[in-house]
Amino acid sequence: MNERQLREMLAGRAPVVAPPELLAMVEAIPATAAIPTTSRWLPVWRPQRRAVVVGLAALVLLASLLAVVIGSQLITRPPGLPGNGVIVVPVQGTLLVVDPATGETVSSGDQLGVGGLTSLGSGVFGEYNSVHWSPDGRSLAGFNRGDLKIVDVESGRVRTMAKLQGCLLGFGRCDVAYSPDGRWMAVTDGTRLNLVDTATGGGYKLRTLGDAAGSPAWSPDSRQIAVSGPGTFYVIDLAGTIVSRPAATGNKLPLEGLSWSPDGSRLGYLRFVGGDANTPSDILLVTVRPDGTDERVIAQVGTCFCVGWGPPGFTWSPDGRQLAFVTLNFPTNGSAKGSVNNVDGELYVANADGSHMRLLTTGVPGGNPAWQPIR
Amino acid sequence: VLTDHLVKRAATDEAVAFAAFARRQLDASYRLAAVILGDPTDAQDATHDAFVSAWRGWSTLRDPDKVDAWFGRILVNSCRSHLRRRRRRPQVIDVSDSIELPAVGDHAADSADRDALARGFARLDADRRLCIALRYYADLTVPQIAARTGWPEGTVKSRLHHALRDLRVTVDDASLEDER
Repeated sequence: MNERQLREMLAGRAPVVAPPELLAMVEAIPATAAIPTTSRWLPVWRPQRRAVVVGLAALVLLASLLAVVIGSQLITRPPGLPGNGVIVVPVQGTLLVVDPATGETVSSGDQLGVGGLTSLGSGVFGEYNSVHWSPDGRSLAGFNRGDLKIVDVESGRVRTMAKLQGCLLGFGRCDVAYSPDGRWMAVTDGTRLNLVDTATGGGYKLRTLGDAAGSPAWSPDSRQIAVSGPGTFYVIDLAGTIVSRPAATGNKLPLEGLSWSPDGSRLGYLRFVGGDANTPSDILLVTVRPDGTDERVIAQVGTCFCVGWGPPGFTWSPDGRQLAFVTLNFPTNGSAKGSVNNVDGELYVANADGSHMRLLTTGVPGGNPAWQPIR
Repeated sequence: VLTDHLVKRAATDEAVAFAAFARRQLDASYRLAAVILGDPTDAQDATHDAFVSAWRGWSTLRDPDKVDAWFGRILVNSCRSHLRRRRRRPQVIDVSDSIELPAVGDHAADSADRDALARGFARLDADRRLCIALRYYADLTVPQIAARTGWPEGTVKSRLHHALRDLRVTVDDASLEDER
């Protein structure tokens, strides 16, 4: 035993932030406990001063909004990079890059020289792992076995951020998601939800969830993480507390493509219904409130034997007005099990309510789409 | 009427000041409580209790420079009370980080040691556990721990010494188990 190990063990017990309900409880103390008599040494915000500050903040906000609106008219985007960024789908170890406006395949394979993406070597990410954009749209994170890789899409520089033991031997599928504030990466290894500090690469376990924990998705305020489980999902706060866990519906296959709408009001994912050893499950694209209520089936997006297969996926566009998803259609006689060549997979986009569905490209045998934020 | 107004105004100012103080202290306090208690729910309760005590004693404090140390003592006492209250309750200790940084030497041995350390830490009595957390997590010196807990410095040193000895025994025992 040495001092470093002791300090690391203690630091590993510390959650990141206090749960929001604790802040609310503490702020309510003066209203519920006895009021003390005067003491006058702490700085106090007087109402008049607050009004001035709020007014100034409103002015700054207004000026910023105007600058953004005017600036967006002036920015010249790189050729091939449409308004909402590109959609990237990991396909058997390489990345398929698609322009969502035109459906044009920007590039695939080793050289992604269009749209600001250059030279992403094949094999950087593993075969059946998802990738996730950084909030600034400049780098992609994903796993190759147990290595959490970060790729700068402009320079092509690849670095290993951390190693996850649960993925080293290929037992679990590892997924990663950047927090919208860019401070953390949520990482799942099949049984646990972990956090990795993007500044240091240091990580710790936030919560053990049991089988099939994957597909992490951050709430837009970076305070909660949704994680898929067998036929259901968990919403977990940064203290590791489970905020909600709806009852499982459909079969017990893990949900795929869990994604939080940019306005924070709904979660979307693919869930699986029916199926057995010889009959593929139906895949439903649904959205629900974060507490699991008000499920809306957006579309039935194919069938698959999704155990041991690169599953299909789903994501919202960065502005929340569109959806992107990968469909799979396995032959119903089961002949496609284990043969990627027999599977018909396609990438679609649609409006957020499921209307105006458009086929972008074919030949996508599974994979979770990642929609690039506007840079 | 003017007196009533001034009293109400003073009370409002106190509440605003307390809320600002609470927001500033909350995350760090909760983290320290979680390290000491090892359970998010207990940590939440202990932190909340500490802030309630702080609000009740708000008027007794006159020196703004000492507010953090003053609240630190309240928090430590709150955690100590929670530890003693649950002494007879069995605890499920969930241990070990699953992530390791790249280019670090012997991952497996390191991780096993940390697991053993976590188990040993959970077995320490309340006072020794407080000493270890304040020294090696909060990075306080022996005199600072003495001020925080109200114990003599000699007592703090003795408790740290015995706590470290107990932890070493736990890790050594775990190593022997692994070798068998």
